[in-house]
Amino acid sequence: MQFSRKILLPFLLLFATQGYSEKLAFESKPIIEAKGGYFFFASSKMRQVYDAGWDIQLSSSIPVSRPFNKLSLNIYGSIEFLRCSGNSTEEHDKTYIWELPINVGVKPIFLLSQQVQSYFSLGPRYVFIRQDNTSPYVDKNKSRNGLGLFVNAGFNFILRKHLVIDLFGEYSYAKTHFHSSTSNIYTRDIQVGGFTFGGSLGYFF
Amino acid sequence: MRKWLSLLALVLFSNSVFATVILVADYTASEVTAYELATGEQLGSPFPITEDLINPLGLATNPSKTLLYVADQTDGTINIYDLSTGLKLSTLLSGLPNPSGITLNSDGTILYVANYGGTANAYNATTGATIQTYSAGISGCSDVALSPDGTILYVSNFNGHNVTVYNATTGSALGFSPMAAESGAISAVALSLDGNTLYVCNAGNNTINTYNALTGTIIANPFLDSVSGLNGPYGMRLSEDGATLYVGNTGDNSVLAFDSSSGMPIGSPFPITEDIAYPGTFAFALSPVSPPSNLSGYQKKDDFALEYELFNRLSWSASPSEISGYYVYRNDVKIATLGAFTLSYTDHNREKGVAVNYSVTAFDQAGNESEAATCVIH
Repeated sequence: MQFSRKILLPFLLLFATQGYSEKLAFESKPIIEAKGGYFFFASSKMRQVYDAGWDIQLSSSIPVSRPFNKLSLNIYGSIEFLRCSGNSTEEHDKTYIWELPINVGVKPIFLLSQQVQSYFSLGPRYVFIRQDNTSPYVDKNKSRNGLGLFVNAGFNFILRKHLVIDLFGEYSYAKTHFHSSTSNIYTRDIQVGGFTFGGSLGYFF
Repeated sequence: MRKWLSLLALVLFSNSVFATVILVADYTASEVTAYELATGEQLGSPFPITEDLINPLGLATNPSKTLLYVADQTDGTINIYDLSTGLKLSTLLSGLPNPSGITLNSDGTILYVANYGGTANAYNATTGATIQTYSAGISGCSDVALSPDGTILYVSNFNGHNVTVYNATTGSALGFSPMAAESGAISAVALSLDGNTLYVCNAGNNTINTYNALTGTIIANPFLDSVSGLNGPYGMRLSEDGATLYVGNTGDNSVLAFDSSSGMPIGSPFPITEDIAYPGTFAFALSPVSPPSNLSGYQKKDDFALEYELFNRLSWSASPSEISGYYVYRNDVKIATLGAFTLSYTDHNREKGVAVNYSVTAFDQAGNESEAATCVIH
């Protein structure tokens, strides 16, 4: 409950505030950001095997509408790289997974104050996944594409002219099913998305 | 230099396999029985060996102790048996005139046979072809002994009351033949490991005398001569380490053991009497390999999230025998050879929902394999 309040508070503040600030044009500017975060899988099956890992992203948002009532609509795109390592459940053989997701979506940005914005973005997500295993009893390397969704939200803090830092959280969903040509290696449908929490340094034009 | 000598000694020691079992040809019971030398305990399956035996008298095992040669005096045959199964492999020779004592040369290629009703002969141990005949002075020959280097053959003459000595290669009698001229009936001969001393067993006099094997002269202090307990001694063999002389008493149907140096009888577990009807001669073998016990297993999933494989994990308790390792079989197909100290095995990439039969056997240095311990994993 406490957590929900903290999340909803900026949005409540946003809608409670009326009027448009001529002084702030930031929300209508394109932004590019370099993001870093802490990633963990949403699927408990994936978490049984893989530890949390690091997620790096390069993202950009471009305004597509004029600001209205402290809100501007942007299109958002990002390319990510995340990597996790772990061990198989019984024999404890080392295994690695990395993903290369590409996200495209819409990103409404809300002005909270002269220095603070909040936003969320959502859209489809394409992901390329590769798994590397040290065990001789499963496939050594395997890769697969998948489609899914993502949603993220965060706060931008304007440090100085053109420079912004961003604190964000992201959830992604993409189900995939690997296939094996080797007999007696079994595969399954599994959700390979998860949660990323992190920060970024951005530049707005 | 010392290091190399030590290494050589180690190799020689580690390669030596001394017999742990004495095999007894039971003439009357028509079988070959086996006893643990250390405990005197009679061994079960595959013993007693009975297939095609009427009156077995002479026994010999090949160097690796996997094969048993049995001379059947009444049937006139030499049969070969697999010691791990007890099954007859072949009849090497037939139609022999009352074959009695037999011995193999050191590499197991030549079989020497004392044919009581004829001569002593050397045969190819694989084909049965006659290699040599020893006939000079032969009279009811009962047993043979071969010098360690394979050059001299000693033949005991039951009816001739002596031992005739031959050049094993040419078949000609040596200058001091016959030797050990005694009254009574000489039933068996045995040579010390260095080939210098010949033990002569006399069933008629109930004595065992010792002779210089290279000169034929009796040794001044004939051991065993005064030792009580001999009662119609017929079969006699020296242990592989040369320390013990085993003697079969046909008077009381027992197997005795004596210290070969002092002539003193060895106590428990000797004398062995269990299930012995009429002991012929002896041979030595290794204990049958006991199987591992408590074989059990279960199936597990090794999960890599995106994929997984099923494996079956087996574990067992060690074989009590002196073994070299274990074989693991899946549905009767050998899938692994493991060391003697390995007591588990993991069989990966198993098919889902399919029961698998596993068996684990132990094997020894000679290649003998135990019976299998089995289990099924679903």
